[in-house]
Amino acid sequence: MSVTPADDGQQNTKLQCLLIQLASVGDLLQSLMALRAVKQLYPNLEIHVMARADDYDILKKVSWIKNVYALPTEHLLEPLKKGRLSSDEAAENEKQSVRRLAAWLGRIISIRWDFLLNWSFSSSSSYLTALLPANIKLGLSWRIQQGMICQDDWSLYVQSMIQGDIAQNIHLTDILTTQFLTALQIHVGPPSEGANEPVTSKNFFSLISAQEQGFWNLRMSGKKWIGFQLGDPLLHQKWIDCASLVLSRHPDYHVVFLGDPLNPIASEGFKDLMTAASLPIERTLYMGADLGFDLWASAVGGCQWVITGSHPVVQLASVLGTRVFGVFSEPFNGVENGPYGNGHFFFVCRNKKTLSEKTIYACWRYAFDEWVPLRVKKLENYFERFSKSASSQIIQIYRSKIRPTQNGGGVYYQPLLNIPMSIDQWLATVMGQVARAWYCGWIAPVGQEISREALSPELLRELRVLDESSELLEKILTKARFTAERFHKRASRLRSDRVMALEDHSEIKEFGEQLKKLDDLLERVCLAHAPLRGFLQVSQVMMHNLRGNSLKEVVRHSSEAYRKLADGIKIFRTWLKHTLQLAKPAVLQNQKNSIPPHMSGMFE
Amino acid sequence: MEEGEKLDSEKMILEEKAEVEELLVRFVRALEEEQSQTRTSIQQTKGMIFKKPTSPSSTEQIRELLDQSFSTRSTEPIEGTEEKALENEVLAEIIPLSSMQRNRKE
Repeated sequence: MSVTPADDGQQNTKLQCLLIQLASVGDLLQSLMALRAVKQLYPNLEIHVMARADDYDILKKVSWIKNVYALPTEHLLEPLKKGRLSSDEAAENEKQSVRRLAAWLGRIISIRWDFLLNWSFSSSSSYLTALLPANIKLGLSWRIQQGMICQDDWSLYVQSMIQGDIAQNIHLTDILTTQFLTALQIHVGPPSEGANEPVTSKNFFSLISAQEQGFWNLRMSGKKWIGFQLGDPLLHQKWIDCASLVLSRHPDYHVVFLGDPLNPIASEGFKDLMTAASLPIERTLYMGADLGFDLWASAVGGCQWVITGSHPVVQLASVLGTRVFGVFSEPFNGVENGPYGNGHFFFVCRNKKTLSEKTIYACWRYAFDEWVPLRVKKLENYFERFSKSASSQIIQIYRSKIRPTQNGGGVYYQPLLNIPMSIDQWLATVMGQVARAWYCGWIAPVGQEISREALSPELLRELRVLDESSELLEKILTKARFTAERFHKRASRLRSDRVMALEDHSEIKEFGEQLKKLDDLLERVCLAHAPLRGFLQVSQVMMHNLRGNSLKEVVRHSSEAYRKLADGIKIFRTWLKHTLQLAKPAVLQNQKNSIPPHMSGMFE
Repeated sequence: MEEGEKLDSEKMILEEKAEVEELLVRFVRALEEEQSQTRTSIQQTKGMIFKKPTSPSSTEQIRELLDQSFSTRSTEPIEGTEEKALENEVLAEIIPLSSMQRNRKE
């Protein structure tokens, strides 16, 4: 299906787009960043958002959002909160809730949307996607007979890989942007040129200049600020101690502690801790959790750095172009929702409880000095100077970078400590590349972002085992691909799915049995070799989402799915072989050139 | 509109209405369930889908379609079988529905 531009051409035709985002505020901010990037390329998009009532204030401050539909959860569920009832009364109350929902949805259903984006990736949002009419739907939806379905390839990837807890390295903001841009390119046409404005901006939100905000702005303006985001009580005392280090070593900087308006309880008791510490009052500010979104965003936007251990502010700072310094602990799943943009830093520590303020300062100081022209020292030198135990507390520290377009674009987290790559990190890198080949049709230079120094004997041992199991998987998938192709050819020759010769019936049955056996084998291999689990889950979700009303159509989609999987495992194995090759000792091609100039005479 | 067509279209409307009602009910229930929890991000739903099996797989779908089919000795209509084949086709339109429903329940 395509979206047909009206007579006045694509550029002047409004394309009505509805985003459903009912997940957390962090996800909402990521969605906004993705939408902003897309809207710059397609200015004729008219964006409407359906979100939780709590998020209404945030969305109303985004000037390019045409309409906000705030889901009246309390009103909808009110009939259901009437205490203990008989089953008949409960059913009647549910009907009342349903009637309220239908009435509320009425005006949204009456619009024929050009694009409907469900970026909540939840069950509830999938029902809404199924209910609302749209020319193009992206994200999760629902079919009575099939259950939850993916409307497009990237949603399939999110469901099988991200929600399926498989290591991968594509940031969610990049996934959403690419998903929508791909759909627009297919259904609308190429984007307009000259959209080079940055997506992130201090003016991303049109913040209201309230009296209180004016007061805070006055206090903050003209000074350099480092913000410490409250929210994780484990870090609160460490923030105060670290702030003390910042204030003593950086006389031109001020410190602001930011309450978390999304989780006010988490900031309780902080003021007492702060009062007990002897921080210089004239260089320290505390903004309580009741500060509201305007002031929070305004303060985050006014800081040079935001130091945080919680996620929503990471997205807020990214949107506003404020540099983030993140402090996270294991288990860490930040690749998909870490800070977006260039020059953010974060580290993953072993345990937040035993983490010292000196280590936080040492790492932040390294990041802070990054743009100082004379900085030549390595991270290890900073540890030596500020926190000798840092290396035992930290697992890895990362710096965010936007890849050049020719290398695939998107954000990338460069590890800064010289620590060997784990099998999960290797898998994340490779599965990310497999996904790019599947859904963007673009293949990265093999070995990109895998260096020889990062390969440990342990990783190589695991990769050698994986070499054998992935070879087996490749054979299974290649066989499945050819079987499905032959099956498709056979099914195409049938005059009817319902009436056929006995020989045809048994031949087709035989194809079905063969595929079933191969499916079982695929499952056994992937379950026995955990690093291959991604292929199993992608396969399961793909097969669940097969479309078609006839045998021929189902088999055709099935054949395409096996082709994709077979191509994927081939790419996977190319990277695997490359990595194993990388570890082998290399013979120097031109020994003479590798000899330092002062020693060259010795070999002649 | 022919009587048959009218019945078909009414049946479709009724089916659509039932589908819409089911979706509305499902949404209300899901919303109620979600309200008792903290709002989750996509990250926090990791592992969500593989707790319950995703089905049907391709082979199950193919098998389902095959179950619905009727076999004859030959695809070429032989004398007297054309009508029978047509009759089978009509029957197949009805039977698979119940077999599909049975499969779904299973």
